[in-house]
Amino acid sequence: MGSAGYLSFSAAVILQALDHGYRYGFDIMDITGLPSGTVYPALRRLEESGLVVSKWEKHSIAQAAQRPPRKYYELTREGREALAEAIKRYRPLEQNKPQPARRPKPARG
Amino acid sequence: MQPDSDHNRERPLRLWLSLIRFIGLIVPRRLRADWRQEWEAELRWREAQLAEWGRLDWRSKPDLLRRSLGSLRDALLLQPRRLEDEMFQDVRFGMRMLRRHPGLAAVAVIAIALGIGANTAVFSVVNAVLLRPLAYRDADGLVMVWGNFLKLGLERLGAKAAEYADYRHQSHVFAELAAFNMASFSLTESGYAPERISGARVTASLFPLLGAQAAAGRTFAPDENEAGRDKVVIISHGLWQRRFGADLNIAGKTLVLDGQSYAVAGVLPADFQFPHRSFPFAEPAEVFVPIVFDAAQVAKREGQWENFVIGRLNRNVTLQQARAQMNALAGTFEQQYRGYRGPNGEDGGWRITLEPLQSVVTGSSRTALFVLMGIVSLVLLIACASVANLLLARAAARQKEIAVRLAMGATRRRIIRQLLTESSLLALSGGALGLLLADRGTALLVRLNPGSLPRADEISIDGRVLIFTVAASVLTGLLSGLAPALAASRADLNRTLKESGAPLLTGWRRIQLRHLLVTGEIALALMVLVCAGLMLNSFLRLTRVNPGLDAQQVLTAEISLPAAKYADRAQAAAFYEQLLAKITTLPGVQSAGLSSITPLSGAAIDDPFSIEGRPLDPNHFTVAGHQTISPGFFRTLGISILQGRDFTASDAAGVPPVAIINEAMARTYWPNQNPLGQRLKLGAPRAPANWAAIVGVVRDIPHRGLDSAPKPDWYLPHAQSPARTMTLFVRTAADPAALSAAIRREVQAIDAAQPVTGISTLSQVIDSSVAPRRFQLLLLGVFAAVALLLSTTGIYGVMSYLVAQRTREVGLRLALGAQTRDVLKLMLRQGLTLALAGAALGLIGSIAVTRVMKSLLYGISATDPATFAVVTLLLVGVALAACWIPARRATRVDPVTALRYE
Repeated sequence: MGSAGYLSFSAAVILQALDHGYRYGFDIMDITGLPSGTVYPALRRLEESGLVVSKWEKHSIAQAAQRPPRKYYELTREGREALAEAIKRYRPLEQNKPQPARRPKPARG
Repeated sequence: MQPDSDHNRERPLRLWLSLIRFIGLIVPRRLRADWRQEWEAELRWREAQLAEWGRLDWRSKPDLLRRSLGSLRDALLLQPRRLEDEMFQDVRFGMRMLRRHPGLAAVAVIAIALGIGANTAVFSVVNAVLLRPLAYRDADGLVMVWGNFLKLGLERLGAKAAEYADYRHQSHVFAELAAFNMASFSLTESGYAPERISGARVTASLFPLLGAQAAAGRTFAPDENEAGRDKVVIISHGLWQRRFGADLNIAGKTLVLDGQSYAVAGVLPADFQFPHRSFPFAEPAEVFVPIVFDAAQVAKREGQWENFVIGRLNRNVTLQQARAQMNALAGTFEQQYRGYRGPNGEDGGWRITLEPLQSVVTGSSRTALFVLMGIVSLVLLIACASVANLLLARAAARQKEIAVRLAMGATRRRIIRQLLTESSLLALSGGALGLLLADRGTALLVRLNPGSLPRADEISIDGRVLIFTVAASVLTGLLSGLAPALAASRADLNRTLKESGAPLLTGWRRIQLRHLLVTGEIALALMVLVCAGLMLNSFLRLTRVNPGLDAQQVLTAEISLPAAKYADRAQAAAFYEQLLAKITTLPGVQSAGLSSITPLSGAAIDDPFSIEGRPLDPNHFTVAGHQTISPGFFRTLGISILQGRDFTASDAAGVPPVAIINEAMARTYWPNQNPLGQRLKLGAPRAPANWAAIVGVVRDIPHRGLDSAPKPDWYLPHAQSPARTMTLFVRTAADPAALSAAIRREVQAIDAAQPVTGISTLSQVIDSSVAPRRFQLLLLGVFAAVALLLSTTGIYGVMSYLVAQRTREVGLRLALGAQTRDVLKLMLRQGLTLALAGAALGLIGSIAVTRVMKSLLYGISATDPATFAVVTLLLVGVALAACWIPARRATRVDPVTALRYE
């Protein structure tokens, strides 16, 4: 499993987002512009093929924010290799390196 | 942020969270909590952030909603996981169950393997023969073009050269068109014995039409179909290897065929074969030479209907449209040219027909294969019913387990799926074993094939057959598992759970279901047995047919004199006269004769003839088979002369022509009259042939096969109408086969370059004429035996079960003074009821089913009462015997034990 040869473009984009430190589903959606219906199934597939692992956020942090713990994703070693392979194939990825997050900004004024 | 106030304030707006809850319902239970938490945490976190920034407004809320809607896709894509997990459990559990009951598993797997094996074997034949296209380029588009005089019974004629030209120029339905006619050549090469090889004269367009390219050299150029440039030959790969040692420098070498030199132009690839081996009118050619049409003959529309025409339809033309157009063309022939109607404009029913090449090649095997396919599907159904019955018995024993599972919260659907998984496991194992059986079986089938099964050498298990086998196995799993699963999952929890260990009561419904299955099995088995019985009956009748000749101790051999060397037919007559004189003086030879047709070889030529003094009746053209024979033919074959005399040496060329007719001809054309002295001739009254006077009447012999009724046939003396290809018949005192070397020696003493082919005994010829039927009978017999075995074990199983069920009752009866005989009768009556009910259903089914096999039968109707009766008795008898064993067991019940038995 985990050969970069089978990575779809969106999967490669997601891996790259993870590589750049965007670790939560919604953050990945923000940075890649992909819809939730694509990002989550892709994350599950990547996890199944061992390119990505998921962990739950520490309970204490979540409790402080009064919400359930979030699940975050990390690249595995295979994931990093697959990403390197995929970058070779999808050259444009290099040029479209994720720009700083388009996170919601504080209200103006 | 105040959680409470926050909660209250936003409640009506937090549709996204409700969506997650709701969509979460379809996520596999095992994953559901985590899934919901992940989505909820993201949404809440985003919400909180937006709220913090004061931007949780009309613009961001739809975005949250959209994101939560995306979870639906996520949830849907997780569905296979649910199936995977539970299926895995089911399979594991199923394996464990089967391993715990290896006996049941083995019986079920064997039953299914027999059913699937039979189906796979027959399907692989159907696939090779009927479904797979022939090995030519786009073979589905190839059609044969036939001329027919429907009213004369002359069908599937080839084309005259002029007609082929008309097809090419006047019809617009063909993208490509080619003609070929068959010839056999004597291949003479120094250092080799002369050899008779099959050949074809072809138009240059044939090879491109078939998509054939030369493996070495080239194929023909169009101008080689012209006189003077036609002494070129293309040879088959086989001949190239056999006679030329696969010489790569073959091109340009010469080959002597019928005494003439041909330059070798090319060698065909090893996998190219034309005509197809199963083409009914000719054998695959080993040499191809250009066909040359004589321009004068074309102009006068002369010549024979001897050219096979093969075409490829235009892409935009359907077969229907092409047929209509060709029929219109046939109509113009009738109007414009002589020879398509009788001399007084009589309608001979001239039609041009198109027949896909594939169906020409597969011919009559279609019906037989469909019947076989039907039979094996019945066998598979019987296997399904058998397995269903076994599983039902298992389910009864497992009622407790199932009830516990239901009580612990398993849904009925889950139980059904579990049981179906088990039956599918059985079916797939059975299917795998069946595939193995089919592989062995088809190999055996090909080996036993008497040559009647077309394309037998192409039979193999390919992708399509594998798909069929898997599909059949899955279907078998469902069919055999569904009823038991439905029945078992309907358990009465309360009662089953309350009951203690020992015998489980089973509901009346379940017993009924088992009875129904056994009845069905017997009904299906009866249908299969009736089909096999009808075939057997036909075959027996056929072997009892008196062929009207004595085939013992007769040797046959074919001699085909080349036209190039024996251009004058009188030369041929002289050759054969000399040969006959030599053969009759050989030691051990009692008599010898010649004929242009071998009886029962299937080759018979029907042609119109005229009777002197009778006007041509346009609606009843007189058509009869005719052949050329030598004096001594009737004596050698033991055909009795009923009236008049045999031909003699004095019936020579130059004296008034004579003829001998058979009984059928005398009966048909001279009922209650003496045919002797009447005169007839080949063709129309004004045809150039001479009138021949009838000098004798002989017994009918079945020229066309034992299964066809005798038709009018007449014989002409060889001296007066010589033919180049003749069959020699020699009656010997001792073993006829010992004479073959001597015959070959005598032939080559007259003409050293003349090969002799097809040496066999007449008994062998007759035997091989019924071989196809014997083959069909063998196959049906095997399938019928399987059907009988499966249904008998089925009824045995049910009876054993019933006896076990009634042990107590029997014990009670015996204790109360019932006789063993009464108990036996009681038990047998139950079995008999089932058998009779099944037989009744089976008889109705048989009447419906056997209709399709009418054309395969001989001498009996498809609803032959005797066959039906014998088969029914046999089946009911076997069923009763199967009941007998368990019934006997019932009578040996010890009343005390039985009553103590809980």
